[in-house]
Amino acid sequence: MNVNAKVDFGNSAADINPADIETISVLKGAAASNLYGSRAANGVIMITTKKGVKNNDLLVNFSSSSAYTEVGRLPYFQKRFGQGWSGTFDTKENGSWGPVMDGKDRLTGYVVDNVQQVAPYSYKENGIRDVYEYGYSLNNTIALSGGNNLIGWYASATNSTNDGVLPGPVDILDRNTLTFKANGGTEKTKLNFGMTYINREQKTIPSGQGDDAGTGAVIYSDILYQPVNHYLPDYRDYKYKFNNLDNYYNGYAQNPYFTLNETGAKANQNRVIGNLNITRELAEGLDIAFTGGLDTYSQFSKVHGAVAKVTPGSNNDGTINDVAGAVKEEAKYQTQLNSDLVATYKNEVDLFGGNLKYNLLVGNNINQRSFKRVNIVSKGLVVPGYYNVGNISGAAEVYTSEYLRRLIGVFGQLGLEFNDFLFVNLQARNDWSSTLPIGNNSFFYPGATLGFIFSDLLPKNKTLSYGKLRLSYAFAGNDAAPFMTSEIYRPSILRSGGFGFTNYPVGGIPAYEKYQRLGNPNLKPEISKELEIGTDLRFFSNRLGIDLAYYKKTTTDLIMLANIAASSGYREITSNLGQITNDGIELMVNVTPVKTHNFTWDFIYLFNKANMVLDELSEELGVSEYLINSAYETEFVAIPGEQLGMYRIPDYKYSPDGKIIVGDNGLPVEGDKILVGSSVPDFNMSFTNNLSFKGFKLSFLIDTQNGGLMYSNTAGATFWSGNNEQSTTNDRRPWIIPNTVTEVKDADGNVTGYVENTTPVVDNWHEYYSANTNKPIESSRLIPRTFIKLREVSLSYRFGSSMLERTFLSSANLSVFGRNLFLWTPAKNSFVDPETTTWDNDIEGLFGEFNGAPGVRTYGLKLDLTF
Amino acid sequence: MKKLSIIFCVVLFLSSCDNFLDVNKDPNYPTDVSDELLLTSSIAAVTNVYCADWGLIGSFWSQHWAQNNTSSQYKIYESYAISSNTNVIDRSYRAMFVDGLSDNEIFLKKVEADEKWGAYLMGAVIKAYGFQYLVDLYGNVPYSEAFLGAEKLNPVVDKGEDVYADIYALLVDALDKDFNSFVPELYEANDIIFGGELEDWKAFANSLRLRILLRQFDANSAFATTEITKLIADLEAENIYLLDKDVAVTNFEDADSKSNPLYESDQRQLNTTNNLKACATFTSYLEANGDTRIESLFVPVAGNFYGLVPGSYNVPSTEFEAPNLIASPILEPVMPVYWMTYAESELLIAEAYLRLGNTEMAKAYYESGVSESFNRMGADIGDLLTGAYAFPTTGFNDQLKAIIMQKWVDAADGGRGIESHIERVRTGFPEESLISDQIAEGYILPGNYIPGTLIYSKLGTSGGVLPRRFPYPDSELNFNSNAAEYKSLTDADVILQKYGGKLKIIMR
Repeated sequence: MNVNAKVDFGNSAADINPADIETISVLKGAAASNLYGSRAANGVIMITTKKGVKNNDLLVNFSSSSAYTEVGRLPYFQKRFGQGWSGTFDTKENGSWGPVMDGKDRLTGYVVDNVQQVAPYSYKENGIRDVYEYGYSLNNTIALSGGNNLIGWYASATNSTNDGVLPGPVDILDRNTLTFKANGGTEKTKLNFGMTYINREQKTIPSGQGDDAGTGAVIYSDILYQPVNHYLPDYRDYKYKFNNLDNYYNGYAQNPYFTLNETGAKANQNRVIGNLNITRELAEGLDIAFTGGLDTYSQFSKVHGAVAKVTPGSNNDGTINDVAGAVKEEAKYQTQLNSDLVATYKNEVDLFGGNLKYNLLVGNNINQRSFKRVNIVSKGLVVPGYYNVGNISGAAEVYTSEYLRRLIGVFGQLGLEFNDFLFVNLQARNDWSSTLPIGNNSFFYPGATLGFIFSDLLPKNKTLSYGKLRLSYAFAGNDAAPFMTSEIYRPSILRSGGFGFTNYPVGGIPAYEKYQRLGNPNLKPEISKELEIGTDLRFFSNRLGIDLAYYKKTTTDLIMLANIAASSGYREITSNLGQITNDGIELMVNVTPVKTHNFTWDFIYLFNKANMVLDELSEELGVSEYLINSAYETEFVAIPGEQLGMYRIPDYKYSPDGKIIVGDNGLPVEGDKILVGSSVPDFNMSFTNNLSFKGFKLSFLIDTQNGGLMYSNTAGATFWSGNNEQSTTNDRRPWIIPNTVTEVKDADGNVTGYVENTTPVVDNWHEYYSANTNKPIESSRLIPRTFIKLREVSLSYRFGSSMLERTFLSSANLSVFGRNLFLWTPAKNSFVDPETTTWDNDIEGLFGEFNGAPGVRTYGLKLDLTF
Repeated sequence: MKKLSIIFCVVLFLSSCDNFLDVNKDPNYPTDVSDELLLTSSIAAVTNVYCADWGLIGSFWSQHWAQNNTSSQYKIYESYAISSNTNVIDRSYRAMFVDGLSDNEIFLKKVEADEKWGAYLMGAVIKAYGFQYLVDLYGNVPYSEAFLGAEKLNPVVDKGEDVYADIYALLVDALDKDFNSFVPELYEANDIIFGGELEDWKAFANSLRLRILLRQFDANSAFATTEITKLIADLEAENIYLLDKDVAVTNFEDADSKSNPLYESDQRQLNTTNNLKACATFTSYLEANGDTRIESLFVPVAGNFYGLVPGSYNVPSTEFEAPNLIASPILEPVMPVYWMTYAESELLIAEAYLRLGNTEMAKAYYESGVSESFNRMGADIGDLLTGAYAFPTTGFNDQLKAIIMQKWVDAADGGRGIESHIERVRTGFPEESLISDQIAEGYILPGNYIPGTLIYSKLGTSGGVLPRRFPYPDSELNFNSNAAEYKSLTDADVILQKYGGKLKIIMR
């Protein structure tokens, strides 16, 4: 698990300007991967952007939206017990394990200059929530399009600014996008050109866990360790003598306002996406097309953390660590080049008294991705407040890395359409990838799809207006990350105790180590095969629609980084780990209960049940399971026959008659580890209602998820600090854990019997709730993923053309919207929005969250005008 | 014609596919390096585990140090709540195998192929040193099939006594090589222990041989006695010699990720520097004997060297705050890590003589060892050798105890607690207090407490039994289909050791 302080500048899919999007379609499953190659093995999200139309008048579209955001779910806090530890009031503690809050004035914080402050010892409502402010975003787009007899063109410019919910300009995303597209040519030769430039400027703060030798504390983690009788905004002036590093009341966590204002990260990215398409008709029905694509970006980022030294002899000296201050600069470049050469032949013949349309396609694809990164890390700043990598007494750490990967593919398709009701598509593709061992780098994946509109064969009737059956069976192949086939040596980076590293060279002496990843010269391509069967039924003139699909996808030779036993001399290997099966049911019901001239009510119901099961693990690895992720006592493992992502935690230890065994301290003893559930939800449902009346349209979307577990360190942190409601069990009075026994041992330590436990948990409630001292309590960190969420509400009004007649406008649309306005979760999760994740969005990310940033609610207004 | 040329181009292009795709060699890192770079890396990796992981646990279990009551980092060390999934267990095991001994194995293979026998001796010593500790802490471990990578992803577990026999033979063999062609200059910088001085490595190899023999003295008496007799005869005949200096790694800097590993982890990177405090077991012993080394080992508070009773970390901070009351161990960014001290080597010889019945020589080496320990720590021994630390005349048991107690004190210097822990498991010294139950948490010891006797942690979770061994880590249990069975830290089956005379010695 990597939970160290890290900075996330998001992913670049967000760079596509929503205003430029014409349509988005999802091409599901392996069948989509023929044209798009292994990068599309999991399906494709096809975004078609707007373009100009030849011989069209100048069209101007202006759209503007603005929105406020506010912080959503924060952990619910208990309101009875205040600052302290083991039931004793203590003004410097970072937990709420103190006595019951009586509302009376108490001395608080430290004595500074012979003065100590007084505050009522009472629960402070919104003590954390009020740290956050309203965020604000504004988006403006102007788009122009037009065309003459030679070309059609489209140009747009967007400015988008966002300031997040953290106070002050510390979480900002500004984006400027320019797009130009043109299409033209002659009857036989067509030309399409498009180019988008995106500039993104971003500011953010680190998340994860603090790093005292570097950039310092992390706010999301620190604010979970503030007792509930403190109102954090009171400490906003972090330079004030009672609130500064020396004297901030909390002896174990930095003033979060210091962190907010003195650490940060910014990035500037320039990205260009361009493509050129030339299609030439060689003969009647025979086209040849070349498409060249370029996607390149450069990003410069800088992370800084202030020097935070506690004055020797001051109140926090010795309990709060000094932060040395750091600055990290990074430059990244990535370029992707893509070439597609495709020949298509279309024709039709008469057959069996019907009409058969057919098309034949053959093509070649070449894809190259190159990447380079330069990092400079300087820790231990000499002049505080000055962030330059040269501002250190020693040497800066410098890292560079680069990769190049290439892929060549050839593909073919044969499409048949008989009388517009029977569709058959046969396809095949072969790829050669540079990331697989030469000699074993080729993979072939065929597929077939069938579509049958059976309603065309039925007599016209009023009940079934449309009926289609879909069947597809297709393979898809995938390659590995670069450089997984061989072993390398690198300058030694050695673990140094639980919290440090030794980075060579040290004392001017270099050292190299064999890297911990074993090369795999036998790596094979990952192949998946997918069956999908579905039906699309529409009844009563499309007033009722049912789309039901079942899919089953089996992925063999799954390429993953696998842990191996250290005694092999290595820790991991990128390997063909095993086989996974994903299957599920997707149901969409589309009802239009009311449809009159002025009023329409559409209702869409979605049901989705997805399983992900690990079928088997590679015998070669000789292991019975695979550890995906872990945090503290929780392991997230893949076990053959189980859903992918099972949580395993220490269980209680039981006596032969089933009683929980406790130790001398009255706390449960750790027993065997047990599986307690998977991360896979039982099912998801969503309900969408669209109501339109004249120009008004009201829609709202409710999303629900049922079942599945997630790891929440926010839960763990609030248990640890005694801040959550669950930590007040039995009003924190001494109690003997029911049904417990202690072991009786002889001189050699052998258990000879059991006696009833008589040791109460007295003042060490925090030990009961800390997984350090009571390991089975780890179960409280695993919370249900279940939720009901009002995902989106919007009310819009489209001005009628009669109203616009006398204006210069051709269309106008005004809407108000809200997102994530309501969230319900079961009682076991009073901590986080279950959709929060801290890890990257892959299998590791299914694990859960580690002091993640809270989600937000959004309220906004949008205006769309066309001239 | 045009079309023909296109087709020609495509064919040409496809035929050169392999070249076009041959870009999967990592340009960022080398695929081979010269041997001395691996030597530094393996020494550094073993050093980090030995000091910052094992040494730290060892100093808790040897009761040199205790957990502060206003922070919580090492509670589980002191409450003996360490199991197969405890971070430190997994981390240290993996680092020892993957970072330390695996790279050393590559080093050994390289220099053996090049017949660089001086370097081979260094590698042999590192291997023997690492595996001795692994056997001492785990009993049976992967050895004969270890480090084989893809060839053996699931290495078998070898019996501890077989590993012991093999590393002993390895040392003997490596010492017997022809070193004439050895060029020390090649290792002057990268040998971060002795700067390429082969004579020092030979001495260390011999001291290590003696330690391996003494560890199995009870479990494998016949062999140990024979070999010790030979070794001592060789020493007396000056055919061989043992250490006359400390085996120290010293190339640290006071900079992020470059300093002494224990300092780096516990002081520089952790969010509080107050976790480690003096333990009353140890400070009471030093104070009772007027041992001036206490000033080299601890920073007093207001002139006092109070130590905490093991397991006092839950004393409310309103009662006392340990940082304002209890002495702290001295940890410095560039303090050396001692793989073995000259003092320890002298005390090993003392024990060897004692075992062979020569108390006179045992006394001489004992006194030399104790003096060296004081010298290294810059402390004045005064007349302790004729007073509190005089070599006993009351028989074998007291004499052995005197020797081992001095090793216990010596090992408190700079995170070598694992050595004294293993020696306690082997010899039963320091002894356990018979009144552990009567001692309250805090820092005040009752009058009838015998200074220097181990107190079962007030928050111990191991049923009254002091820890003996390490549990195998989950990573090995889970990922090696040939792994040994799970062991808890009180399982008394670490072979080649006996436990304070209470347990039978079992050879399995």
